[in-house]
Amino acid sequence: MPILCVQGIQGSVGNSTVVANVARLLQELNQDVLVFDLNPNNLLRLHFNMDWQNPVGWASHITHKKPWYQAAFKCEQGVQFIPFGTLDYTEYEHLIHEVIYENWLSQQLENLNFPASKWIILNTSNELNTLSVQALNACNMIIRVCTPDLSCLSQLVNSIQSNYINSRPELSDKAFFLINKLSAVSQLENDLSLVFKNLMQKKLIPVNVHDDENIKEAFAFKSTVSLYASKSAATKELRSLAIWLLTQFNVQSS
Amino acid sequence: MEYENNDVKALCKNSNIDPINYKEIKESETITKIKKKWPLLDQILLINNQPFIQRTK
Amino acid sequence: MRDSIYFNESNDSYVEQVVNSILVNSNLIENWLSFKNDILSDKSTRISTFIASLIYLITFLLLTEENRLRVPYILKHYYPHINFDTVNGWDILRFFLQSIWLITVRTSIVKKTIDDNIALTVRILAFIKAALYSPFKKTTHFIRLKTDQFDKSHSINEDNYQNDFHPFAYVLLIIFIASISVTIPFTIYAQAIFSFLLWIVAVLAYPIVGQISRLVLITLSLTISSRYLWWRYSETINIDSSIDTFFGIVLIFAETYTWIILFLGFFQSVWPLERKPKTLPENTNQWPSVDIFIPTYNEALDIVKITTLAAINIDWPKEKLHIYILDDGNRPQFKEFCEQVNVGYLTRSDNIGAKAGNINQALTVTNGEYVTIFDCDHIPVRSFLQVTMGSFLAEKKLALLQTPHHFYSPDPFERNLNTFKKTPNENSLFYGVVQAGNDLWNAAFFCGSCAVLKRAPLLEVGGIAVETVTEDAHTALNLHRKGYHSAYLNIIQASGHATESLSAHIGQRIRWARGMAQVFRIDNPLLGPGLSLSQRLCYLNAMLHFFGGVPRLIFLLAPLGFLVFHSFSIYASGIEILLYALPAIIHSSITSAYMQGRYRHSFWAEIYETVLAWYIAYPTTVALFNPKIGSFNVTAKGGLIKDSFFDLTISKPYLFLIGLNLVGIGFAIFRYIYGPTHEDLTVSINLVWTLYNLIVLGGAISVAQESRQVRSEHRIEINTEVLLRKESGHLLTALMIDFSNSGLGLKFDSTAFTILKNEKLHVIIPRGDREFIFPIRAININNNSLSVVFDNLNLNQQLELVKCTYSRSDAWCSWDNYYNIDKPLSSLISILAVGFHGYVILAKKLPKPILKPFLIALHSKSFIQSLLPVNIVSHQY
Repeated sequence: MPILCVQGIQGSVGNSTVVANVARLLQELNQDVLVFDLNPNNLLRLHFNMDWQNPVGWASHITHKKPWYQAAFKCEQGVQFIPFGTLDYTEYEHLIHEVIYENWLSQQLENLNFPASKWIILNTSNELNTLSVQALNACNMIIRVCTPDLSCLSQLVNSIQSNYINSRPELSDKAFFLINKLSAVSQLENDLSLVFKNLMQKKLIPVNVHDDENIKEAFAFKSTVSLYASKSAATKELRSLAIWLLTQFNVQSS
Repeated sequence: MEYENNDVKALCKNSNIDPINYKEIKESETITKIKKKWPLLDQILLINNQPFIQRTK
Repeated sequence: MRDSIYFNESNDSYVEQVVNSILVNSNLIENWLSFKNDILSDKSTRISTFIASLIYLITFLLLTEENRLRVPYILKHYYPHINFDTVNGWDILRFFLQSIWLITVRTSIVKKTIDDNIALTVRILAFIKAALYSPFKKTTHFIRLKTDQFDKSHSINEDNYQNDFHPFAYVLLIIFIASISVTIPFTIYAQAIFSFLLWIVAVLAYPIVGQISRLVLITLSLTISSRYLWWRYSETINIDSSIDTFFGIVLIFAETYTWIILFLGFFQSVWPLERKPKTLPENTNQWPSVDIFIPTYNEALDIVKITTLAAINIDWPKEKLHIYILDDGNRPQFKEFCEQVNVGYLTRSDNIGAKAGNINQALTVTNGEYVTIFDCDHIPVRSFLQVTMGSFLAEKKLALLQTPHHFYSPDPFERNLNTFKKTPNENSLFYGVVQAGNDLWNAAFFCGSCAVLKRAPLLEVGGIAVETVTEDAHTALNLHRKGYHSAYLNIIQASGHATESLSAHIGQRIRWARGMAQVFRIDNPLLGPGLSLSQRLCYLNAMLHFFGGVPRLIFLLAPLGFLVFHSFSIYASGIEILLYALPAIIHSSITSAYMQGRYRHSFWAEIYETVLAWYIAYPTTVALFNPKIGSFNVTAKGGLIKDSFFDLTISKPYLFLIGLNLVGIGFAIFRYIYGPTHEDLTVSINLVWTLYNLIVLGGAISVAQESRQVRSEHRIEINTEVLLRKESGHLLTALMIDFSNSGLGLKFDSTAFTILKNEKLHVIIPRGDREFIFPIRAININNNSLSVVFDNLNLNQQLELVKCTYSRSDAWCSWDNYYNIDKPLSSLISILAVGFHGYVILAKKLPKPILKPFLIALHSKSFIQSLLPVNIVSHQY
């Protein structure tokens, strides 16, 4: 069962966008996909046309003593997603410290008893907490999303998250980097993307996702880019990313 | 540093010769130039370059 | 899923199926409309519509819906010469002929694409075809196995070949055997049987790839043509009358020349060396330092700029690579440009010695261990030095390494005859076969550009030779005389702009011819120290080749000796001439076709050489007697032929020759009717010869019709995925299909995005791990095609553009693939067409009343041609 953990090097690198779009494109390649939003910002659901006001999510279900897996939805196009839900501060603290015991995530995933062909994509917050650490350990591949700028490079080379992953070979071995939101017109970003390639070498996913207005507009339409603008460069790049994932897990697209 | 030398590979394949051990020199020079251009970049890479590469390899 | 019923899925009987489908399938009419739209436009005639409806009904009864939908496309694809909108009776004939041709000749295409039932017929036909050939196949297969073993154990490359040619040991023996088979007099019947047997062997050997058949074919061809020459000398010279003697000697001179060229040519490319690049040391510190010279005199900065930027992009350690522009024009804007891009700018106070002098001057002020020379319009790829330099480190005596000259634009022959990328050009034989053949004998020549020279040996011979106007070949000769080695690497690592006009092209060849004649006089390769016999022969061939003008003119006029003057220049009966000459001609064509492979197609050389013959005949003869006469002229490049025109000045000599040959035809008819009957065969032979001459001369006329050039900058094909960025920030994918210095041709999906004329965009071109962005402006949008121009690129962007385009090391390597293996017969047909076209051009220049019958003849010819089957692109539907 391919379990991906998608985590930004820092905030606002377009983490949820990548997760939603890749899930959608994998599903277009006839894969069975479930996305699991572990990020308290609860944005992922919006890509799948869920009502902004709707507070439902796995975390809120747990808080309200309901089975968390009942918060699963299926979007029109067939991607299954589990939103995080709306919590207040105390509820969140309670969830993190009281409810989520050690290996909670891997046990829950095991209990779900999915077929081996099922893709699970964990949308993970960039901050290290119980949830994100469990996600990093439970998955078979980490995708670390970065934007080609110096703050990202700085975080990449030295931050709590990077040091945590880099000091654990079992994590750093399965970690790959994705350059997102590469602005073609910026000289600095072009220079930095070369530096990133130089640093990451084979660990860099060989697909650049450019900063395409279509992605932002697709989100404004509460949709994914392959639906909103199927011929755009963004769709093509994200599809290449999905195909790269298939090859990494040796899955034949049918 | 390793670069994609797809064009050289294609050349060798098309000309029916064994792959040559091609060295990408211009791009390596570009990296040096880029580092000089942006001081913060130079600083970050100066300190952490080596261990980072070892870790990620 | 469509609502129709698929026949193969139903268990009903066939009739029931049909009836059912008509009843059930309510889409019958709708399908017909879509079928009609696919096959006809709205301008179709009633008859066409009727025939289309018949076809539709037939397909409806016989094919599944899926296949039925493909029928219009299949029809249009396989019958491209039929306009379905205006079908007439002749089209039925066309359809019939094309079908037969498709099923019998183009079986391979049809087999892949047409329905199973038809494919079965095809397979049966293919089986019959194979059965007819199989007796030969078995034999050739056996021989192939044997020769493969030989080739494997005897493959020659630069590592294992031994360049010691022991003439006396072998040659004496060979001469002994050969002289017997050449000199023994035969009766006519014996000669006929002998030629036939040799021909059988040649036909058997021809399909086998390998060194053995090459040697067999060469031996056969040499034997039979030597027999011919021996026979000519020993039996056919008529010294009874002075006019016969005169014509006889003139003709036998030309024939002897041809025999020598044939012999030397076979010797030269008997075993082409397939040299491979050598690996450079891992440590770049051990790589030698290289100077790149780009000599220029009056070429525009735009041309030199691209070459310079490409030279800057060459992957070689910065501190070991120095680029110099050698400007004999002393132009300030060149100096400014050199300072901007940080390359050396060298000038001198005089222009003595033209390009050679320019380089020699530069040699005095530079100091790299190696010197690379690029003509200012030869753009190198980035791997140029890493591919070439290893050979020097592996072979200490190596002083010169030449790579092919390649042109991305059509030369005048290719442009005016429309053979660009279809038929190999004049160059490709030299760089594909001759130079590789020379390399075996350590006699690869220097060709002035795209070559690396080692400085120390070059200085030892006094730099580039200045005594002659072909400084390149002469310099190589000097190096060889000092015992240095040369090499030829047949990998295209630079590309240039071909000469634009026929007159410029001829001008360049005149210079080469004159220069070679000068070297022949001043520094004859047969004499003087330092050369091996094989090197002498290779140089001799290169030089004699340019003396071909006079013999060629003799052949063009020879039949007139008999037809007009009734002189028996070959004193023999017609049947004897046929039995001796024809086998010689056939064998030399078979062997040449075999050796030249895909680098030259048979008979095209006739046109190249005929066009040049008149122009090189005079200068070579003059230079032979007085090598000092003659000045250096620079070839103008990059000019634009705005309107197509007929170059009358250039073609005058050919019009004259055509006139003479037409007179010859008149005489032939006269002699056939009124002459004695026993001369009929001789008359016919001379008539055929004259007709052949007329065809070739017609080809020369075709070349002189300069066709218009659409653009000043040639667009070079490429196939790369790029991104387009609109000002709004939207990105879309596109396909870059061609590029030039000023713009790009792109394909994009116009249904998903609109791009307006003059809209400003950015194009993002990837190269390896990097991508480069360039500002562009849309100038022409036509459906999915988009033409853009670059919007004021700065110098750095221009450098990056060159990096993404010209500098890619595989930029030119697939060009050989355009050319197919030579098929002598189809070559002959294309030569016929080209020759005929020449007369069409001439006919159009005639006054109207005379023109009219010609036009009628022309129309009838094109009508008949329209009935013939046409070739189709093998593309699957």
